Amino acid sequence: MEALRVVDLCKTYITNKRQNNVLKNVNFVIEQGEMAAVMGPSGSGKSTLLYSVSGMDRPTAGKVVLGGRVITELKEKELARVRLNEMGFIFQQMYMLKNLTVLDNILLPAYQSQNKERSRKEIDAYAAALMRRLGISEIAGNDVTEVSGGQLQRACICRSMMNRPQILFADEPTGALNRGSSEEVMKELNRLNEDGATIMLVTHDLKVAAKCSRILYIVDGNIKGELPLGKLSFSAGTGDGKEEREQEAAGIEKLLRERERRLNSWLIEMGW
Amino acid sequence: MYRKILKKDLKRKKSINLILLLFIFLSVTFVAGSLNNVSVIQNGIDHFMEKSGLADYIVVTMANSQGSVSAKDEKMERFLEGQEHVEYLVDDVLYLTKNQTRRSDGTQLEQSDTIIFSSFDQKGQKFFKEDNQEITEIDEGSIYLERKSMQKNHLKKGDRFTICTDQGFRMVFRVAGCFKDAFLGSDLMGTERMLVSQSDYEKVRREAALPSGKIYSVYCNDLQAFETAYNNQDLNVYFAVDKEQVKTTYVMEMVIAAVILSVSICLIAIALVMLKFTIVFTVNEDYREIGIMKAIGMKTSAIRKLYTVKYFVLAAAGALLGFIVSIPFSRLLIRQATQMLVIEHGGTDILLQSLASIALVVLVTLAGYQSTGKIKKMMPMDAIRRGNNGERFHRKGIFRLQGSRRTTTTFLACNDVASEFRKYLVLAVTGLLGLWLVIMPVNTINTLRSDGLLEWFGTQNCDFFLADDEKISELILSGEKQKHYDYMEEVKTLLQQENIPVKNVFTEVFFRLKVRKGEKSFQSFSLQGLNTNMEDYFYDEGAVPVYENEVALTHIVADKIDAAVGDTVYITSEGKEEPYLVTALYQSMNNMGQGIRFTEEAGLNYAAQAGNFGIQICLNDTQEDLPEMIDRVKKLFPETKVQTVQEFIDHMVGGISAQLDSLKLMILLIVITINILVVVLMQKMFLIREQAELGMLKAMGFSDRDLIVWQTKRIMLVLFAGITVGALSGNYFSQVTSGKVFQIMGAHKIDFVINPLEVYGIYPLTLFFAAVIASVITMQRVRRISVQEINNME
Repeated sequence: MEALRVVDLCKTYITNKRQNNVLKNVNFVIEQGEMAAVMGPSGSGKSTLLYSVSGMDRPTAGKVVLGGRVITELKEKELARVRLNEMGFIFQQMYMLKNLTVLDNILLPAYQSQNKERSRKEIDAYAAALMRRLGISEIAGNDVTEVSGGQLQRACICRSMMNRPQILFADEPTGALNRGSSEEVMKELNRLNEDGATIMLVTHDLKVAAKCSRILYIVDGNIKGELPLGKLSFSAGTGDGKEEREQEAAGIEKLLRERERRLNSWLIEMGW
Repeated sequence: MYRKILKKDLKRKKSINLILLLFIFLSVTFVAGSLNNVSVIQNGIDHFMEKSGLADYIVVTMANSQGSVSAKDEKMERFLEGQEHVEYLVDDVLYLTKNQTRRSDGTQLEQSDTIIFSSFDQKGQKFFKEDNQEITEIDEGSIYLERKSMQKNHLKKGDRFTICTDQGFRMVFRVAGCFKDAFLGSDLMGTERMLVSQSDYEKVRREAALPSGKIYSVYCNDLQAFETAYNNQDLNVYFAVDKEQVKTTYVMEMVIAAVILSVSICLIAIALVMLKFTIVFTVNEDYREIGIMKAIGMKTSAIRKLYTVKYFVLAAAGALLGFIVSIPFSRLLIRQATQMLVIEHGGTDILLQSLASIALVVLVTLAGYQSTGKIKKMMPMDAIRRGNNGERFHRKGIFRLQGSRRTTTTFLACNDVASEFRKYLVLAVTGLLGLWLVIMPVNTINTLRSDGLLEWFGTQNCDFFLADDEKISELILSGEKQKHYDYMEEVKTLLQQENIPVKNVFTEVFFRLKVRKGEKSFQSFSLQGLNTNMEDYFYDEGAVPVYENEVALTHIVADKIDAAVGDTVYITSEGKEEPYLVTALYQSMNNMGQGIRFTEEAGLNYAAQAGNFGIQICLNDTQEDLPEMIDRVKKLFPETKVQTVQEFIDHMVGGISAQLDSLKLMILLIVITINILVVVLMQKMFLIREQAELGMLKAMGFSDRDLIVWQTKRIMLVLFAGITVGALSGNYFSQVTSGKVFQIMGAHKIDFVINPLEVYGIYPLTLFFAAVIASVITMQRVRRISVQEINNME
């Protein structure tokens, strides 16, 4: 089942009276439950593509169908509602309102959505569960300047998940994090994907991309190729015994290295 | 380099710089204009007095009967002759009443209670035409009137009117124009003057048999010694004032100047707070540039100079524009004063206005330099770490969203304001000061227009007045108390016959009597009510005077002779000094706070009376429409001026409430403009500073409308706080500003009449909604903020 369909998407910027075609008739489909990564060299249009398909920016031409609805034809107010209720967005920088605690930042979109199906108590409970799951319960009452980058990005993931979106967009979600935090964040995104969330992310990090089920390679505003890596279970370390967990982890490590090698070769072929 | 940086900065924040420029411009215009106003009026009054040759002390007498040689004048001259180091000049005058002046259609001219009719060549005073030229001759048949008289009668040069008496005298005069009279020209002076040629004056004196009088212009080396000696005499005069008191009657001109000066001071305060806010904001915005400048070795002082230069340029440009505009503005402000006073240099003090403009440039530049202090704390590391040097001193929010029942926009607005109130302080201060400035004239006007104010003029409350009646003049001249009672009875009967539900007809007769306690004495305005009830007057302290030897004094008279409740004072009437017990103190705005109130039983010499307020009518409680009833009374007394209480008060305070009314509108417009400018400036800066947050919230799913609502709610909250404090404290502000004017007029302490609908409703809401609408309009720019602005988030 299609989660996202992009048809002939174009985006043109006019800079100093010069036309700059950043996206040129881009077409692709992301299936429900898929975790797709968009890769490409700097200036290839990765972020523009992500912002255009997620309704954050208006494309110049083309169509974006999200969950069966053409979001490129929506008015600004309707689009805002879609962004609030049907999608989540994770940015490279951990953007949060400084005057609010981490928990309040997470609660904000859910309180804003005014969804009658959920009471505020239920929202609070859902936020607590999400934070527990992402291992950041202890920072709930903290100020956003008092926590680490990894914790903050996990809080951003919680925030993006609060309204149970159909799809999660992420722009370099680990770009501003160190290796340890980066792995933690990717682990959580993979777990969410395993739970059924559709994810589309932009990255230039091989390790991040290798954890996705499909790679879209973009050059000069066009999808030049696709690499299906296949879905992979990242439920490592869930075995009963310590030895069993270590074996599972080692297996996943091995598998990931294999996917990274494959991806690397493919990217070289594509001219990366 | 400065030029390049400046050019870039001015272009980058065009609208913010423009608003700051506008603020500086407005501040300079108002400060320079109003300082000029205060200075010109203050100096203008002195200059006018000097040019007119006004004496140190002026005594006006009125003969008891028409054309008689006054014994009062003989006594007065004897006294003056006996004084050492005192010189004096005497001028003859005649007295007219309103109904002796008629237009060609037979209608009366609207005049003050008493009109002094004199020739222009007075020995004791010079008079000036509108163009400030001294009046050196007047053609026969021509007459000069005072500006206030020309205005209320809509007379213009060339119009004609007739002076006529019951004895059959008639003489037509052609209006030659209005003249400037230092002694009687102010709006607070109840007596007016008409000037004619010497030959016309002589003709009227000979043929019209009008009451005569004299004006004594007294020049002395030691005014205090003279006043002491004068006050010790039992001289029965119409009125007497010293030069300083004459100056005080121009207080209303100063009031307008003072109101505009206080608006200017508030404007400077707001401009400086805005400047600090803008500079701190800009410095925080420019952390990268500042960090890099420090990294390449620029000194902190050099960087601060860079910013200061920008504000110096803005201040200089704003001051230059403000200075230019302040010249016509100040002329506009003193337009009325220039019609009344002989003012030098056309009312413009260029030097003072230039100095005020330069002072403001210096002040703004210094404030600008002082506000750049944060640059000292900034390090090259700021450029690298996006303004974060590792220290975490950001303040947490006050409120928690979790469990909150408020909408998210309300929550965010409350939390922002509570967490960083200092950021919004300028707006709160603007709302507060703005409302103070608006409430002050409103309270003053409402107080001046309140019926209760009649009590502060030393008279009892009534429903209307029959003033300026020919009969009243006769009563004054008759010197008989019983004739007053008879006339009041006559009026009562007439009114009742016409089905006017009269409850009481009374009058207040006034005298000028010497009061003494020990060595200290004073010639005071004194009152005796006829058909009045002593208990119906207002007293500040003590008990109501009941017996014939009991009096109440105003605080000012009590202070002059060091008397208090319980003291015995000595009052001289027709050469006889009698002891009186002071039983109460009261306040009055009549005759600059002077007053001795006698009981009806007190045996006063009615030949010494100086006048009365007219006949006052009190009605029974009735549902009948008062204006309609007054119309009926006017028909019944066609020769008499029928005044409502409000008209009477307006007459007493020289029409100040009408002036304040127009000033109120101007202040309201200025305050609304300032509020709007502050809101627009703040919102524009917030839009720049918070565009990343706005982008993030947009990405999260907040609609443009939600964001506008959030930002506007913040403004609403801050304004609400400022305006609420302003509304609650505005009445106190009125007391300490406008209350002083009432004190100059003689009030000891005045309770302002507060109209809750205006003070707590109409004006706060007008300011509030004007600013909220401005905020909503400014915030429409949110629609242009792209989600990608999030990349600029720190």
